[in-house]
Amino acid sequence: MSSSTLETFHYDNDIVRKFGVASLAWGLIGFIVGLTIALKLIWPDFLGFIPELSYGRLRPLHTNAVIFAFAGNAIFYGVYYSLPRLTKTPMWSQKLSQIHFWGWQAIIVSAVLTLPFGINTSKEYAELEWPIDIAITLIWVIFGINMIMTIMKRREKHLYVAIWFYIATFVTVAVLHVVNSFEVPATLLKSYPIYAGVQDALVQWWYGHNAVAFFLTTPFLGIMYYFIPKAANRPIFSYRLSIVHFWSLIFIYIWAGPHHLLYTSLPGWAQALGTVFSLMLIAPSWGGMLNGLLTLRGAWDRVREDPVLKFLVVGVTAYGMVTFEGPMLSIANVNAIAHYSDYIIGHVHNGALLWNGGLTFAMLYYITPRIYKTKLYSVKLANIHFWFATMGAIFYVIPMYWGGITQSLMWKEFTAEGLLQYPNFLETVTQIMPMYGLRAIGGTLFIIGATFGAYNLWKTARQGSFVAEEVDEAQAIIDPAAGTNEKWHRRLEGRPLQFTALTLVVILIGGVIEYVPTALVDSNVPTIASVKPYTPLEIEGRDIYIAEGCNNCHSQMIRPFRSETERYGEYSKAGEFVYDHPFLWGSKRTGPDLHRIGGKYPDSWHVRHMYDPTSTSPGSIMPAYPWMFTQKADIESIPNRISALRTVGVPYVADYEELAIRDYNAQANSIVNGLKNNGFGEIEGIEITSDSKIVAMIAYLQRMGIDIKGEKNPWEDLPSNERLQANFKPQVED
Amino acid sequence: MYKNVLRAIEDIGIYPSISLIIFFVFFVGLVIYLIVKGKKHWEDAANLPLEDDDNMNIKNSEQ
Repeated sequence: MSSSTLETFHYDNDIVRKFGVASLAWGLIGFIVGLTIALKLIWPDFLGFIPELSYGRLRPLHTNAVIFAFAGNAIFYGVYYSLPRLTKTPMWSQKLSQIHFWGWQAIIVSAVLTLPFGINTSKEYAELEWPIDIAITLIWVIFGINMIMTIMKRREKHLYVAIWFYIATFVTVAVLHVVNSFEVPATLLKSYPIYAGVQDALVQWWYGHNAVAFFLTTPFLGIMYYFIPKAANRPIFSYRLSIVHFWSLIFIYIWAGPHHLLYTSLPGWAQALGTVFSLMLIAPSWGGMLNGLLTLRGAWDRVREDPVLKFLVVGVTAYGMVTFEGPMLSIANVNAIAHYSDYIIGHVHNGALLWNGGLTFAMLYYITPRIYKTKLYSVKLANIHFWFATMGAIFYVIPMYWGGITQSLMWKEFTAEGLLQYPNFLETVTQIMPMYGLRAIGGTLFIIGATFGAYNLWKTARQGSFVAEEVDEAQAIIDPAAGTNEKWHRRLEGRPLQFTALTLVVILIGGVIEYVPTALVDSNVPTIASVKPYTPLEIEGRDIYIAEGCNNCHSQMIRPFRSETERYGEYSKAGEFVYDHPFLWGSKRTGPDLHRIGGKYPDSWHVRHMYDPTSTSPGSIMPAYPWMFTQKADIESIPNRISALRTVGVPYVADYEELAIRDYNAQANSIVNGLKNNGFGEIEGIEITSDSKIVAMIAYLQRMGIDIKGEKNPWEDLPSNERLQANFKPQVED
Repeated sequence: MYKNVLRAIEDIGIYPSISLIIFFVFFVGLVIYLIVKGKKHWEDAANLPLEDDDNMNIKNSEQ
């Protein structure tokens, strides 16, 4: 360690700038898509009824754009700036940095080219189809290699706490993404998950929750631990607290996923586990928040002047609020009210707009002047941006809280006679329309602020001169593993590979304990004999339901509350979902639950409702689906889909592929004939043909939730019925 | 319903308990270690982000 020769090296600011520009550009697009769907909830006919711009298809585009394009690029922006400076070495490979950047943008573009076209898996925040899943894995691994190798080549022995959070992010997101993406392709752009029903739900929300944890939280905590000390020009309040913060956060977070599934058909032990660990999570979360805020003690005067610190303080404060809300929402009786309502939409936007958004804009305002060797173009404009962002978020979040609780209480309200006070779901929707209006105003304010930010940063760049390669110098470490007299945690921090391995072990403990029992669940869920696989026509209908994103607004999970069984019917049982690849329980009720919709209305009602929802439900904010009447169903790929579904475990008989299309046509013709006999052979001059999408859709809607009643075998009238009957025995038999 | 799932997997209840104990022991050990080592031990580490500050020390508030 005695060498005193200073080595000179260059930080790559070009890649930093690229990720910054990408984050800002995609962010603006993501926000505008969000505003578009907010307006669609107020005026369903806004932008007309164009399939590619319908609510159900744009909502996943919005969430994916904000999470993976805006926040994702922001993470890489922060990592590529701070990691080299903390390790005193450039990124290991400039080539890998470039592949990472362009690969990630290509993935985002592929999302833009698939989601609006109805190509999605239906799994929240994992909507992208299987070829893109593979690309994500490859690019993520490239990012990981580049990061770990940079750490290996470092000139600073100690790994600063921010880097631990980056390592945990890489390791855990890799595990989550791979496990949640086990799917069998049916066609080039269609796949079915290997999990079904309850198991699929648990894996999905183990993923979904930890995507929030390890994509929107841990990397941003690393960013917080680097940029707050930098902006305040003082070390973190307590480094010891950050060590406790790190290990307890990553251990506890991974368990909390099942709180998304309280009162569902998920086994009770998993629900209880989710609640307990969610409550524990408040401790490390608040420890981290306080550590960030207390760093500013004695520097609060600067918060008044510096927009970077303003965004950081509001961001960390919002983190504190959201991580208080999270555990509270995980308590069963609070969850009973908040779940499925707009409260959750408010909760996540508090996090996304202020925590992720705040830290991202803080970084942009901090880094841009530095890499352009200039000052910020206008501090005043940045302060105006700050107020637009903060007020925008408040105008967004509070109406959502208010509307969410109002609507949820209306769902649960009974009259003195014991009847539902508001039996018509629509009544609870029209009640909160003013809140939807306020939300759109809040979103608009936030977007206006962001455009000020973009302009300010652009002018800053214009007035400066870009330093593509920033010079620094440091001594090399002769033996990174030296210093054996140090205590274990210090030694661990000097050994990145062991550190990474330990992080992996810690997150796997929680993951495995939740995952392994449910991996066995498939054969343990009590099979209900009357529950049968979907017919070919219903498969097509279900896939249209997924393509149109119906699950974004409709749940298929009736919780065991009297207010729900009164409104929707018998509560949902785990055994009803054994053939559901993927599960479609949903997480939000903008419209009513659909699990018992089957048989509730005649086919003709669905024809009218899908063509123009206001014709059956005046005042409905559901979009119309006129294209379902003119577009043809995808009958050709039915045999491929049958094969794929058999591979994932649905017991279709051997060679059923050959009979499937005949069954499809028979069932479709019977629906069309029924409609004709009731005077619905056409609607508004459009003839309803058996190969149209609407017929498949009706078949699926009418099938939903009826098996458990055992009144009618859905396969009874199909040509291949007799051949099939023998094969639809419950799975547990063998 | 879920009791059937529980019964079917042997000793499922002990899994979470074991890992909770592992975590708790780790957590207590970590806290004791941090207290014993004292605050001074980490000062250099905490100052890591600030080391390159003399490169380009521009404050946004100085307009």
